[in-house]
Amino acid sequence: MADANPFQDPQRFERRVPPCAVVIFGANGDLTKRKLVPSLYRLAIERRLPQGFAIVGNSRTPMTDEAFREKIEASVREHLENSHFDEAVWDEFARGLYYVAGDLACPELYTELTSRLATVAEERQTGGNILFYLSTQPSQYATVASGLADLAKGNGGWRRLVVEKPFGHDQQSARELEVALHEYFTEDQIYRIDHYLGKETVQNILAFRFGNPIFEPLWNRQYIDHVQITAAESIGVEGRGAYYQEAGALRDMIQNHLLQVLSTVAMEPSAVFEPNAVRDERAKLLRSIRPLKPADVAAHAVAGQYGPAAIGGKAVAGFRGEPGVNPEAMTDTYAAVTFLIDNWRWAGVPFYVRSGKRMPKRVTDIAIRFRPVPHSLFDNESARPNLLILRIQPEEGISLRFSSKQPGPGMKLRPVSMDFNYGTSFGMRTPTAYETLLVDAMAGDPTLYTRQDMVEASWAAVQPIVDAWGNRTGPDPFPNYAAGTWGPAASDEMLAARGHVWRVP
Amino acid sequence: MITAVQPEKLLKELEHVWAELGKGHPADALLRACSMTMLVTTTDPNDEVELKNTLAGLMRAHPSRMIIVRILDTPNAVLSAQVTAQCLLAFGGRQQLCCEMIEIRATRDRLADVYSASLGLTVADLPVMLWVKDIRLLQESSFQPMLQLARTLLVDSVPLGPSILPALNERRRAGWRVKDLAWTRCTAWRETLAQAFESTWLQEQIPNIASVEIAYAGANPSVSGLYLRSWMAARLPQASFEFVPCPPRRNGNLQAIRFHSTTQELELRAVDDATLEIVTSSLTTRVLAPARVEADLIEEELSILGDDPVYEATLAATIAQ
Repeated sequence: MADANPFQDPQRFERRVPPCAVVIFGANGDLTKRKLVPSLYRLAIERRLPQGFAIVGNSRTPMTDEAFREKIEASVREHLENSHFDEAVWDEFARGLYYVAGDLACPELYTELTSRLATVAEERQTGGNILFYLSTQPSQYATVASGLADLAKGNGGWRRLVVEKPFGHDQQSARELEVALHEYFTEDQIYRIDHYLGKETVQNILAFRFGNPIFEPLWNRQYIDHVQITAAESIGVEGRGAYYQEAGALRDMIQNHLLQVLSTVAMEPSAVFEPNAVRDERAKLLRSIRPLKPADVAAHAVAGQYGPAAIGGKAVAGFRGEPGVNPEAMTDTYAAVTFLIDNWRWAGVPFYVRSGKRMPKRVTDIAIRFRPVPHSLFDNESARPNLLILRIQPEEGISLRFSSKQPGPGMKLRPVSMDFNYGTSFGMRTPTAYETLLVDAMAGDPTLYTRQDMVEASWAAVQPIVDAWGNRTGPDPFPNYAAGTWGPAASDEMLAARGHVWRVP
Repeated sequence: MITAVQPEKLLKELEHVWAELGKGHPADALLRACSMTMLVTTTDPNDEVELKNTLAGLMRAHPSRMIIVRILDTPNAVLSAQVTAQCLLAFGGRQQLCCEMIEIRATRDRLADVYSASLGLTVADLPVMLWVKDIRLLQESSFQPMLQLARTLLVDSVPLGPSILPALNERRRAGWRVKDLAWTRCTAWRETLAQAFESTWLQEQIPNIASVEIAYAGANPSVSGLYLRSWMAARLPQASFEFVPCPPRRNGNLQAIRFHSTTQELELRAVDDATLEIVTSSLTTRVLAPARVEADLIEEELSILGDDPVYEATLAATIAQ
């Protein structure tokens, strides 16, 4: 119905959202309280929700609509970062909140949900459109999809299914999940959320690359020496020990978030900025990542696990000492991988990707190191290669490091930096990743969502490492780095083998 | 204070201002930011604080070199200038964002000198916007050279009412990008309406809309009301339009829009200064639409970088009615 609303003015109005109901499975969970509902409320504050809008929450806990509203109000008040709480908007928002209790495995839940959604459609004029949001344990995805078999067909409105990561715990289970979801939902109904792609600064990579012609001619093997992608967290597992020990850094961060970031940095430009055109390019790039042979894993991937340490005078437990963690856990709390991309643009350029917990600071950035000058006129020490840094968090922005003559006699060069800072150039609140992605899902724009072929391609890139690390023999290698440091020595050695060093972010 | 406006001297003064600002701070504590030249012309001797607040509000998203031309009504010819800088701590940042400001005071007979001096003061390679704060200046012959300084013209037509619209349209036809804050004030109404009509059910009712009432408070419909009528009329060619007076519920002239059709009534109305309400036969919902300060309105206009065909068509249609 893109052309049926003559009152739209795309140049001024934010993305249009049709009337709809959002059904959240796992409405009592952390994600709902911290991210989903506060994001939806912020959208209401900014007049970005449609007139006909409702949220139907589900969890096992019996609760009235009224009790659910009170619970959600408390969450919104607590987690509404950088926005004010407006009573009038809340009253309106709360009128559209409903709750249906029930076990996800019980068919009765879906019968009641169907009847409740019909009432909600009438009361809130949601037009029969429904966005199902799976904020549950991944093991329940298939059960919910099967329960929604009838509702998924739609009856006078669209149906979409938002799925949170992980999309399987390996290549095989990712395919099994695909089969289970596709039994009831078509691929264009499925929105696999990777909140990294919703971050403004990740989206800005596309703007930077394809909106500024001066960089694109340099964006290839001729001028770029290597790329480093870092996602470091200063915290440990913070109560998620039980989950994290099954996942690890490779599965939790690299397989999804960081490979999506890598694909955004390295993809070819699409002909048009349309969902499938952009996703085709991302998928193509992911498929170009060279699969590792088992014998090559050791030279291309390093696992780490933090041990106890004192940080700033405070004792910090090692991973195996964290609550809920098996004292013999072999989980990687740090992973570093050298990816090579087999295409004309990137042949021979290593992409070093690392992610870890209990690092010295929280930082996510991409560093693109350009090749040195072919023949240096100045002393080698002072003429350092150019470095372009795309900072994703915190202090989002872009820096370009280049050499400049030091004032005074002689010709001494010193690296200086040209900085663009999101906060100072656009001194306003930027929407959170969940706000962006929720609006996109309601508006039917999957550009920033992951497609099944992208999921499979990224699993294909890490599966040999998962297998090798799963079949480890020999002495226990963990812990191999102290909490509060930049990871194990083996990670430095991996780069040193190619004459490179990790930069300190 | 400089007794004549010489661009080179002013730019040197600016360098001095930056050097002074930087003293005692770490190297990266201040960021000299500029994305455009904002040239403001005003005749109000008492708007100094208000204007600086507005410009400070704009700095966050649109840091610029601000040139304020204060036009004086004094018997003796005056032409003088001074430079300052405004700094603020940007949202979530640790760095102060600073913009430079040049204030020129001149009598009308010296506007030609202001024009020539301003040519040397605009920032190279960046857009220039001319905000004619007193729209009556547009009708003064002494002011005409100033219009040549920019291709984007920002005005608020409210003080003069619809009589100024043909002049704005002339400028538009001559190649200027015209931005009228009276149109920007319609955005909350237009956007809420557009959002309501995202419902396919309401879309189906569009051909049945036979008449539309626009309720206003005050003596006459404002320019915003006239714009809104033209904009809706272009989308509902079958409907008749009528302005009806009503008691005010919200500051400003516009109070409600009522759509009458054979099958459905729809009303978008003000509840209070901060809220609009959409009423259909079966559902009433409210949205937040607080009155917007001038900086906020200007920011919306600055976010449109190219032509604005919707406004341009609406301006032409409003004059034709």
